[in-house]
Amino acid sequence: MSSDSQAVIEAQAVTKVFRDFWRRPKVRAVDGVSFEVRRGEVFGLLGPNGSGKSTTLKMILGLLHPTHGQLMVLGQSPREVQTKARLGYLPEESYLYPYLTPDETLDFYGRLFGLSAPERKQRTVQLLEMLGLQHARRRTVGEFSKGMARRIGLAQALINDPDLIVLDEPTSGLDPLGCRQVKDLIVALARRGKTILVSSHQLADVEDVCERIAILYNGRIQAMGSIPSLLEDMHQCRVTFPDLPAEKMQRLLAALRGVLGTEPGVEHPRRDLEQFFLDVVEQAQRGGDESSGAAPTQGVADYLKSESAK
Amino acid sequence: MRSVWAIALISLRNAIRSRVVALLLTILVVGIIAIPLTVKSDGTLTGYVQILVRYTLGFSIGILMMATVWAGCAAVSLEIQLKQIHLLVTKPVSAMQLWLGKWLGLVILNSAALLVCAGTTYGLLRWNTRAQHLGAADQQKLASEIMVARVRLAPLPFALEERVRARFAELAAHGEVPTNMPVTAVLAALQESAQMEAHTVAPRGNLTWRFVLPAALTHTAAFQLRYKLASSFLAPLTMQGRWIVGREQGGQPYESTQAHPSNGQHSLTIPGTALRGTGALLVTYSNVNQTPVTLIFGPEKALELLAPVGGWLPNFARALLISACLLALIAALGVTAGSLFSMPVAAFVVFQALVLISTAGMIHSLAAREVNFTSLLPGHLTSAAWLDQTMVWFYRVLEILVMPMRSADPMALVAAGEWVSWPMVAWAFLQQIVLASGVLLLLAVAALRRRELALPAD
Ligand SMILES: Nc1ncnc2c1ncn2[C@@H]1O[C@H](COP(=O)(O)OP(=O)(O)OP(=O)(O)O)[C@@H](O)[C@H]1O
Ligand SMILES: [Mg+2]
Repeated sequence: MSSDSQAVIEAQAVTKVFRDFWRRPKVRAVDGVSFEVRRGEVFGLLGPNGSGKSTTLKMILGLLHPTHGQLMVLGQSPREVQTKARLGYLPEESYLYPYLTPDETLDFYGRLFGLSAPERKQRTVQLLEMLGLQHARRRTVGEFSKGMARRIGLAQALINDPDLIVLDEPTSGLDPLGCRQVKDLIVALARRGKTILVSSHQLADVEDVCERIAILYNGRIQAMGSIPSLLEDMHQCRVTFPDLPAEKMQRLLAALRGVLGTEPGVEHPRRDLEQFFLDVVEQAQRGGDESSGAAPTQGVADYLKSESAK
Repeated sequence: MRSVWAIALISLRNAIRSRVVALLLTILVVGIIAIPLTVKSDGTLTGYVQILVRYTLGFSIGILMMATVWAGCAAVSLEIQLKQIHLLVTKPVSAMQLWLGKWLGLVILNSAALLVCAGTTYGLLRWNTRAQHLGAADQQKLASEIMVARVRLAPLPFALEERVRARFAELAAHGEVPTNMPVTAVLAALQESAQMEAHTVAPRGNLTWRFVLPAALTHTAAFQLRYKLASSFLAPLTMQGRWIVGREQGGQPYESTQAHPSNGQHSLTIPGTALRGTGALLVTYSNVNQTPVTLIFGPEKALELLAPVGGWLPNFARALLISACLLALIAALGVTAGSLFSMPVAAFVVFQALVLISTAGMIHSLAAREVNFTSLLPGHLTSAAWLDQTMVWFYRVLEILVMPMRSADPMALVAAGEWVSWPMVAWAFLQQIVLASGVLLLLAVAALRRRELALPAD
């Protein structure tokens, strides 16, 4: 599906007004929002609680209908059934059937996409392995912890190897390891030409994976653009080099002072907490502790790696 | 179709894992075993079979219907309420597949439950009527009148129009047509009295009925004639009468003289040989009483013929199929209501609909305009014909709507040893599944397409 315009999602002046029982307007959750998400792009939707992120995503999925405005997804109306064959969706909470096991859950959603039995089996195994839930495949998801259920939610969103993936706060409820993995996954999928739309308040996560973002406030887009264009401070510069003995450092600073005419700032770069946490867990894992929760794993399911024809 | 199956199976699995099914089956089986123990029967074999097959099994099917209403309404509405639908409709699943999947799951569940109920009932019936348990007379009765499938035939009606018209003309000629009632009412009264006359047998007189026999009935074992008789005497009296039963052409008519008290229902067993020959079956009654007395048959079900056409078990199976169709229709009602409304409202709507259907007989008489609506109103609204007309139309539409569910209770037929034919099954299937459930499906699809499924129903 390569239309000449590469836009996978096109929103034009989309507005959503929630009404009460008497059809009186109650909340203007999304207000005249226009944006487009291009093929192969990771697009982030940011905003405080109640700013209309989930509402926007639900309209893109056809779960809500815009009150005004135009919305096209994969070249069609979001309400078309066929559009959904190429779509993956992780809702803001995991709405799974509590009495099913992960195997059964993924098999069920796989069937809805018309996947053959061996294909469903293979993908289920790979996804559960990727998400570290192999050992819990025979428990029912009703008894899963929030993060574990979230991982199953993610797995069902990927079972059809979708072209467009819509993730509503994908890292919410996940441990840092899970977050890291999800971010790696997003990057890997984008590299394969998949289009990904994420909403999040985890600004660090957004910064790590998104190419472009839009910041919503009160249903309106307040800022939109690529991350470097929005964040780079063109008036400052940072240089990194190995730590020096005091005397060499003095010489370097003196030279800099001579060139700049002002005092340069000096500090040791800090490792971020995420990286530190990941290192600690990895060490514990090497020590051989059995986990009953989500097992730490790495990598991406094979079928999600394979170069697809399109 | 694959999606439909997948949804149906997942619904089933959910129902089984949440132990709803186990609970339901326990209630049903315990009910079937316990109810006959608590109900006082009249002590006869017929009474026992009635209690077991008609009331106990009927009661279980009733419980199953209630459960179906609830489960049907919950099927879609709960999915919306718990937001599981968010995952379902973001897959390539159409509204029709969703509805069909949910409905099919219920149909499979119902069929299984119905089979369990039927199996329990049949087991109990066989056990409690086992040969060493019954006297010879009861065994004979069981084999020939209860555990059979018999057709019930009514004779061709007497041609009365001529008589009614003549009588009316006579009245009109003498200027005696009552003016204080509508002409239709006069004609109805004349029809009724003509009917009465036609069923009257004067002393020494006789009366002949004609039966057109269905093909299945040409070779049969003994069959029965059932009739209702009253005399013009007020005092109890033993009646003498001769029956002659045989075909129009050929064959050997069967003759029998019967003596029994008047006023009541009687039956006469006739050997199958009386059916030999061709043409209509003629049944003649001669009033050969010593005392000159006039006899009247009827007024309702004056005479009917009961003849075996098949075994009891296949008959029972066909009745179960009809019950399954009704359950499927109720499931359809539930799933559609659940697609339109949220939970308690949906169940309420379906129960209302069922109440409406159970009063369908009354609706029918209202639609037939046997009631004068304006006369029911307070005050003197003499010229409100339009109101009458509107109400009649309203009830006619209502009647058409509830028609699919107004079939005779198949279990009552089976319990009475009466034939449940394949055309009856086909009719139930066509009406309740193809037509009524089809309409409900379309209604639900239209609603689901328009609805925003991320919002609860208003
Ligand atoms: N079904 C609904 N009925 C009425 N109002 C709603 C409904 N759903 C959302 N809203 C309102 O719409 C606004 C936007 O909600 P939305 O869920 O899109 O926010 P969000 O950006 O996803 O917030 P969060 O970060 O908390 O997930 C809120 O004011 C919310 O109350
Ligand atoms: Mg949200």
